[in-house]
Amino acid sequence: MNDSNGHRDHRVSSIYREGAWPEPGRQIDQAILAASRRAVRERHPRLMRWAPPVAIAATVLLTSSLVLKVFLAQPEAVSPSAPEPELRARQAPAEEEKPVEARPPRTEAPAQQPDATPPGFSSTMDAGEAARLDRMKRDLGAMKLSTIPSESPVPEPRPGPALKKEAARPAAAANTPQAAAPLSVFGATAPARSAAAAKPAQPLVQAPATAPAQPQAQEAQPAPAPPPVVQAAAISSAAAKERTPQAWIEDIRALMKEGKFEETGAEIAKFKKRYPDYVLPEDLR
Amino acid sequence: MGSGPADEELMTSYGAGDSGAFETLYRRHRGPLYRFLLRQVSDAATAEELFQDVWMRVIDSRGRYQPRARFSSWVYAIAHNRLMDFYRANGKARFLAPYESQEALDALPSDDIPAEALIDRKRAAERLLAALSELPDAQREAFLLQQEGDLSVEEIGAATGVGPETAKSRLRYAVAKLRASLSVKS
Repeated sequence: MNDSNGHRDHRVSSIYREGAWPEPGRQIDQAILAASRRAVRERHPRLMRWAPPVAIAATVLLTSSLVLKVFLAQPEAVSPSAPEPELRARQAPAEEEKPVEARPPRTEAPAQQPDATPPGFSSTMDAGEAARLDRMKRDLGAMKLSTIPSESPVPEPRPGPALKKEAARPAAAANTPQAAAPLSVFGATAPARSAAAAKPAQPLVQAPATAPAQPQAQEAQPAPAPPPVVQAAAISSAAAKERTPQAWIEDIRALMKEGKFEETGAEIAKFKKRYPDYVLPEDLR
Repeated sequence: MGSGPADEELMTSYGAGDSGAFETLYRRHRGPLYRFLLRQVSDAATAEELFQDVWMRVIDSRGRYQPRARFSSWVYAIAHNRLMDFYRANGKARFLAPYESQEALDALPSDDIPAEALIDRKRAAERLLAALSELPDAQREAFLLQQEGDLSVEEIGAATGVGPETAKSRLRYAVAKLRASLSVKS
């Protein structure tokens, strides 16, 4: 009668199974089976639902990081229309950090040897810059007519960041105002390409190894100088481009008189950056 | 429960995305589970609602299913919990089985089932179902878990949250009363 546990009465069970066997309706069956299939199908679409936003976010992140990287690598290339003062402010520290030894061992006329051209400079040239270029052209023309005077002092190396201001000042003071005048337009960190654009520079003295010497250079230096002398001359010529603070201040005053107040402000800013300890005259403060 | 893959394998396959496995599983258990619910609530609409709820819980749990026990033991435990919720929601706090002494059990008729009940089985089944509906809920549930779910005493205890001895006692009372109902002359 009962099973091993003594709780299953087979006769009762068999009578129970004689009764009605109700079952759920077909609609219930269909609803449950449909729900089971839907649950399986929805697993993947749930994951796919996130795919488009994630893809967009990844694209935006990648693009922005690339743009940022390019901008940091070449800021001028990305924003060629950056204002001139900004560009100059960016160029100034970069040039100041250049070691003197890094410059090419070439000897050129102080007025005609510009520094390396910062990228994108010409694209930011405005009317004031053009006027200054014209002045530069005139001055360069005047300089080309006469060779370097024999008694002109040997220009000292341009003071780099390691050089003290006091060391630069005596050398700059030794320069004549006439020699400093053409350069003063551009200041100590004058962009080279502007001068080059104004007139192609004719190197007065050039190292024999770099290029064949020009006739003019041969006149200035009859015998080829040994390399150490040429290097020293190169350093000196670089220093010759340095304006004296007084000459620079005069140039700033000239700009102010011409009514170029923006450029005046930029020049004063550059001056302060170059000579932070120099006390500006009352009229320029 | 017949040939083919075990219930636990089917449920695991369904959890892995095989909707056909669920269909097989459902076909196996739909009738017994439905009757287990219907015999306790005595209302087809309510039974269908509870039935759907139980299967929806099975579907929702497919990813978490661990075949630690028999599938039927697991699914009837879900049904038991759903039934408890239903009783609570409807103010039917009568589920707790009343204490029945051994004397009451002994007072029931003997094991013998009258011959006429064995002859007229259809009529006997009707009487048995009527007696089943009169059983205390816990005893009726224990009997139905055994008959419809094919659960052992231990599984009944596990599904209903009681010990095996309690489940055993409930079963004994249920069977004795049903047998007695067959002995009563109409």
